[in-house]
Amino acid sequence: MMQIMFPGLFDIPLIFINLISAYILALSSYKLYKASRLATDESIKLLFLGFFMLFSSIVLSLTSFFIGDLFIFSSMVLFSIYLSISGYVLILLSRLSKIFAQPLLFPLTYYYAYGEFVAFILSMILALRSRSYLIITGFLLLSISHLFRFLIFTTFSPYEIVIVLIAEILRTIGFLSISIGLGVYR
Amino acid sequence: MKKRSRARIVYDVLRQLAYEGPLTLTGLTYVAKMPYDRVERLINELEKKGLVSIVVEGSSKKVSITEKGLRSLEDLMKAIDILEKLGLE
Repeated sequence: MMQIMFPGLFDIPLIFINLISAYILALSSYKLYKASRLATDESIKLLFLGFFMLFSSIVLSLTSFFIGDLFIFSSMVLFSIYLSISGYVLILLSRLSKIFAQPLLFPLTYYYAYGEFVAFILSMILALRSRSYLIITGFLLLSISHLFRFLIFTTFSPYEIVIVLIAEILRTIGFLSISIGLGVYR
Repeated sequence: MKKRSRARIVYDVLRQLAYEGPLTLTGLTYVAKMPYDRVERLINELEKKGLVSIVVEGSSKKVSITEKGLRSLEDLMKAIDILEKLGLE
């Protein structure tokens, strides 16, 4: 039986910020979906899917705050990161050819750590290719967050818990920055 | 010249119709910067979606924007804005 628990006091600001990001990302995805249908634009459809994946990633991440079961919690965090990776790939695909999709996705099914490294690279590319300062900042923060997670899984660190916490905070602020940068408020 | 997204072309066409009023297909080729046959295909698609209406006046066809087309301008603008911010447009 799944255990539901109340989040800790320090989690509440993170939950609140994640809620704002989720709302803005959901709205942006909806606008992109409508535009893709209106203009029959395939690249906007991919972009919609990409941001929808990022939105789904936040929803899973939010849900994980309320899960007491360690296995389900870990799975949710894992899938949340996979959703982020899928989001990055889809956003990149709206620029690149579809040919690159499989080589990017294939290795992610094998190694979680490798997935984090790919996420680090992808979010860095997205940051470097973006033009809005808020979006650049957001993707850079996400990129650093993925790098931290990658380092935790590949090297032993006595400060593991602190690094995980920092990575989570960076990720939360990163999503907020991207959401505000997208600028779709209503 | 950098390739424009389809959303940008549709937005440019609809915005021109909204500000300038009904236009002929030939007039729209200048707005869309596309050859006549492609503009005709695009307008037919937009008509099916209910974004524009086509009225035959003598030997020429005049295209005008519909209520739905006017409402969709904002959605398209927001999508283009996101594309620009991501460096995709």
